[in-house]
Formats: sequence, C-alpha cells, structure tokens
Amino acid sequence: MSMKTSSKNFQERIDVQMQNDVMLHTVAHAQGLMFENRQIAADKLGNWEQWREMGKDIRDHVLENLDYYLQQLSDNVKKNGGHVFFAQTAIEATDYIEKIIKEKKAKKIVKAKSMVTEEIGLNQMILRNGWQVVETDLGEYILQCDDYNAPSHIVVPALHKSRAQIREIFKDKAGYTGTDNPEEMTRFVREHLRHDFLEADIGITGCNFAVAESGSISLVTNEGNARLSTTLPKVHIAVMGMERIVPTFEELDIVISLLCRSAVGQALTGYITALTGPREDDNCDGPEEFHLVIVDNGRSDILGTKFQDILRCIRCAACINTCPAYRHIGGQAYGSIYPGPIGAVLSPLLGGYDDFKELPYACTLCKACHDVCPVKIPLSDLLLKHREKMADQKITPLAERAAVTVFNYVNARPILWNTSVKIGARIATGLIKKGKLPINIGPIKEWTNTRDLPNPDGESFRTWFKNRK
Amino acid sequence: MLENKTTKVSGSIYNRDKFLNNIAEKLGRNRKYKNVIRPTLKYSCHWEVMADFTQDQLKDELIKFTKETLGMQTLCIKKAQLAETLRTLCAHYCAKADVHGNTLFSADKRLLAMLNPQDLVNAKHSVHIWDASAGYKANIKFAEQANVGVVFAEYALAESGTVVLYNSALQGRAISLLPEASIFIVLKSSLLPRMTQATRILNEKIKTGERIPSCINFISGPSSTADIELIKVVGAHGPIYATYVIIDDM
Ligand code: SF4
Repeated sequence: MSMKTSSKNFQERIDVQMQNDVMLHTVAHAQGLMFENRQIAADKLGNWEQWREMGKDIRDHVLENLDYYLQQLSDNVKKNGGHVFFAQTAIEATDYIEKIIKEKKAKKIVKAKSMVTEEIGLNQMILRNGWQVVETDLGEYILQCDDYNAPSHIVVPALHKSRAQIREIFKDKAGYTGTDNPEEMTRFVREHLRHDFLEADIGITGCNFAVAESGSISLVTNEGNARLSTTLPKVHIAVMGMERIVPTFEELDIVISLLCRSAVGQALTGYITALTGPREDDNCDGPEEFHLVIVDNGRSDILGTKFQDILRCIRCAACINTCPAYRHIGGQAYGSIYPGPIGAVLSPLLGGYDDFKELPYACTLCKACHDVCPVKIPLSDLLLKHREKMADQKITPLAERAAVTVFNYVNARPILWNTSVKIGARIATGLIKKGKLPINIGPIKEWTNTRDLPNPDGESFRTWFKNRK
Repeated sequence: MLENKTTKVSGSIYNRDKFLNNIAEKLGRNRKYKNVIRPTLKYSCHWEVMADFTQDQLKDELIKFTKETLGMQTLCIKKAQLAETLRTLCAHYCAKADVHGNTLFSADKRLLAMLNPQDLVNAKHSVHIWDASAGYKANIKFAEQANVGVVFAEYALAESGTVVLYNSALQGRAISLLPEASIFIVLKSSLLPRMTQATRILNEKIKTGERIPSCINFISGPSSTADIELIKVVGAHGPIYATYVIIDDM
C-alpha cells in the first residue's frame, strides 16, 4: 500500500522530524497563516455554522445512498461517452490505468495533484513500466524532483521545504540557476513544464467531487495545471475515491464553498473546473477520451461502522492546520500520505493497524479540529474509538509515548511556543489553559538533541519505495 | 446560447454491480435503484448573499473584490468602447513581445457581434480567431504563440470575483489558458451574486436532459500558487495576467 511513506517506526520518525529545524519553522509559520486565513474567510461569509451543517447533511445523505448515486453517476458518464471503471482495490485501479496507457501507446503522462492516486501507488506502476510521469502541481513537482520525498500536507505537499531547499532541489535536478525567490522559481517551473503538457499523451487528475446528476467531475485548483492536463492530452483519466460525490450542482455549490474557504481561505480558488465527458465532436481541444476510475480501496469497510463519519471528509486540511501535534512533529512523521487528525483517523482504517497503530495517539484530544472541520467530523472521538478498538484487539502500540514525546520536546524548547506565529500560539496556550495538558505526561525526560543526523528530511520516498519491493 | 453537440463515442461501465452490491451490503440493506429523494437544504444562507443587490451594486462589488483581493482590474464600459478598450489592453499585454504581439479571439457569436477583431490589427499586432475546423494542432499553435486570449463569459460572480466560461466549438478551452494574459468579456446583465445562482442555472439545464458543456470553468483571476512557503505568486501554469471587461448592456 502506497499510503505508507516510510518504513521507519513512529518514534524514529518523530525523532528525525523534531530535529529538523527548517521543517518546524516552516510548518509553524504556515499553520498559523492558514489557520488565520480560514477563520477570516469563514467569518466573512457569515452563518458559518449553518454552512457546516449543510455540508455535513449533504455528505451524510450521499454516504447513506452511495450505491444509488454512484449508479447514477456512472450511467451519466457513460451517456456522455465516458468510460467508468469501478476498482475494488488499488491494484485493480492501477491495472486498468496500465491497460489504457498500453493501449494508447502513451509515453508521457502529466498528472495534476491527487491524493487518491498517491494512495493507490499510481506513479510506482507508471515508473515500473518505464513511462514518464510528470507531477505538474508545483508542490508535487518539488517533491518529485527531490526523489519522491514524502508529502507533509494534503493541500500544500511541500510545506516542509524552505525556499532555499527548493532552490537546491531545482538546481540539482532541473538545471535551475536562479535565486530562491518564489516567483522566479515558479516562472521557471512554468516554462519547464509547458512542453511536457504539450507533449503528453495522457492527463491524469483526481476528482474533488463528482456530480451524479450530470456525470461531471469537478477539480478545485489554483495553478491551472489541472486545466492544462485536461485540455492538451488526447486522453483524460480521472481517479476518484468512491465517496467524493454530490447529488447535483446545488450541493456542489455548498461543498465547494466550504472547501475553498476551509482549505485556502479563498471565496473560490482560481479555477473550479467542471468536466462532463470527453469533448464534444465539434470541439478541437480537450480530451477525445474520458475515463473515470472509482476507487474503493478499503472505504466500503468503513461504511456502516462507527467510523463512517470520516467518509464525509472533503480533504480541506483545516484540521491539519489547527492541530498542535501536527505542528510539532510535522507531516512526514505520520508516515502516511494523510497526516494530521484526518490522517490519524483515516490511515489506520485504509492501511491497517500494523502500519498505523501509533497515529491515534498522535493527538492530545484538544478537539480544536472538531471546531474547524467544515463537515463536522468528530475527529478526536474517532481517534478514541481507534484506541478502544485496539485495546479490545490487544494491539499495543508505542502507545502514549509518542504523544508524550511531542510535549516533552516542546516543553524542553520553550522557544517553539514563543516564536510560534500568534495564532498557533493561541491554539497552544488554549490547550494548556483548559487546565492541565490534556494528556498525562509522566516524568519529563530531558530530550537530548543530536544535531548530526544523516538525513534531516526523513527517509526519501525512493529509499522507502526500493525497500518495500 | 451555445449549442454543444454531443459526443459520438459510446461509453462503458466495468465491474459496477459487484462494487455497488458490496456498498449496499456494508450499509446493511438492499441496493437502492430509485426513489432516493435528495433532502432540501436546511438553510438558505447561500441565497442570502447579496440577495437584494442591483446589477450596479453587483458590478461595484465585483470591481472592488477583483481589485482588492485578486489584485487585478475590472473595467466597465459601453459596447461602443469595446474595440478601443481591447486595443489598449492588447497593446499593453503585448508590450513585452519585442517585435510583434498576437491576440487569440474566441469566435463566440456574442463577442463577434460586438466588434470585429480585425479592427485591432496593426503593424505590431496580429489577431487570430479560434477556428475549430482547422483542428487541434493549428489552434493550439496559435494559442501557444498568442500573448493574449479574449473570451466571452456567460456570467460573473460578485462574491468571489469569478467569471464563468462554457467551452464550445467556437470558444476552445485553450484560449483562456495558454496565452500569458486573459481578457474576459461579460455583460452587466449577466452578473450574479455567487456560485449558488450559477449552479442553479446548470441544474435547470441538466433537469431538461440537456448535456451541459464538457468543460465549464469558474475562473477567479490569473493563475497562482502558494506552494513555496505559502507565499502567493501570481502566474503559475495558467495565465499570469487577467482583466475583466463588463459591458454595460442595461
Ligand atoms: S477531516 Fe474535516 S477538517 Fe480534516 S480534512 Fe477532512 S473535511 Fe477537512
């Protein structure tokens, strides 16, 4: 399973991450900023609680009637001339995509950011076959250049990298010679990738929400790479988690409004693109062929259980941007492509307790995530349910030790509290103010800092990828 | 209105029944094939945004939002001023092209009814009009070389500074995508408060069984990214510059 991004154990991952000062700094700064932007956007819209409730209701209704809506969606995609493949497992999904690539004799594939394609290990399949795949989202491209370094955030995957590090990556891997100015580097990537878009045979995207009634898929982006990926190549393959669907455009309005504000604090992102089937016969650009791959990969096992609420998730990352544990251990420490509160609940469900048993403990139960989740998922309640379930099954992870480490570390370095961006600090102090720290720390062990670790970025995805084969 | 032909290719569905039966089973019931009524939304706060605004107020909001939040310009002009306005804008956006500037126009009939793009041609500026019959290669080549793309927007949304584009044979996807600068023309009578009204219109189309355009874009300003240290950079893979031109048709 490619959800897993590291073969180190949780304790080791935390230790490595915590010695990475660059990461801690960028994460703390970014988290504060995103938290603030989300709050401003929610306040500006007004009636935010009503919006959230509508979001929750829409998602619950879809989950309760998921077979019906997927049937309607697939009927309509077919009617529009598209192909729908239902994939029970990750392998079924990648096998189908492999078959299309072979049929089309495609050599180059451009990809727009998509969590579910990460989850099913799409790139590994493509690379195994010797085809070229180009990640076109800037953040994903940075990580791809960095030998598939693991993402640390679901919206801003290269959040843990500083501009200086990014410059080095581009210099080493893409022949970049400019400064570490973000605008200059962005322009470089724009020029660099333009010909990839023009040469690509296939464009692969995710799907933020499908619309059952029209057979459409929607993509929520800012960069324009998803538009290029669905305008220039002859074939478009969209991959969606099976629960990412709404009944009609009326509900799409609500969930998109919630998503854009919660994820990036924008009223709408730069591009909301609704794609309905392949291009019309009289058009000359856009894909001639459209495939929709609907992925289960463990999701149906969550339906009908006490964890069903997690399937409402719209992947906005607001919970991640609010989480004090994430702030202090960083995204890569979770060892999953889904970090933070959402990841701590979802990763063990999709990937099993063997690999992710510690994650439900990477939480202080402060419940800040409840308050920001646009679809009102009771994340920390679900984490507790994981702990109960594991106790029932006599699974004993490194247990509370992990969470304890977070607070030992922070306590030993008060500078982390002080230099934190205002908002983040407010979360943190809020946490302590509620009385004591919400977990029992036990005797505080002084944390000794070893500065000369060989690989401060954590294990690269490539090493991990090699090891798992 | 735009007329979109449907696609000839016939679609297909694989592995559906097993997949959906499993879902129904996990939900602890039989498959649902019909009679699922989508619940009415509990609140109407989405309809309340700018509900009582006149077209002029919507226009003012749009101008303000694009300026303050998106850092771009929205003009409001009379139809008769369109050619002159575009001449100025194109010259501005082409100024970077040392020798010769290129502008790619949508062939949307509503746009071409308002001006003749050839009027904008001069020694330093060429104009091309999207022509689907010339095929993918020729049109994409023009789009790639063009400094500016001019398109006609169905609607504009005041709340988010958004223009709504429908693709068609006359208005390809690449026009507002490949050139460095985009100019969006929208009628004042087509200004809407927010996404809610635009999606309602789509819903109504869909209910009549009409296939909606294969590519609908809600575009808010030029492309951007914040993937490096969350610093906003305007101009990522899509256009770097954008201007909205509202035609006062009321
Ligand atoms: S759990 Fe809620 S807050 Fe977290 S990513 Fe999902 S929708 Fe967003």
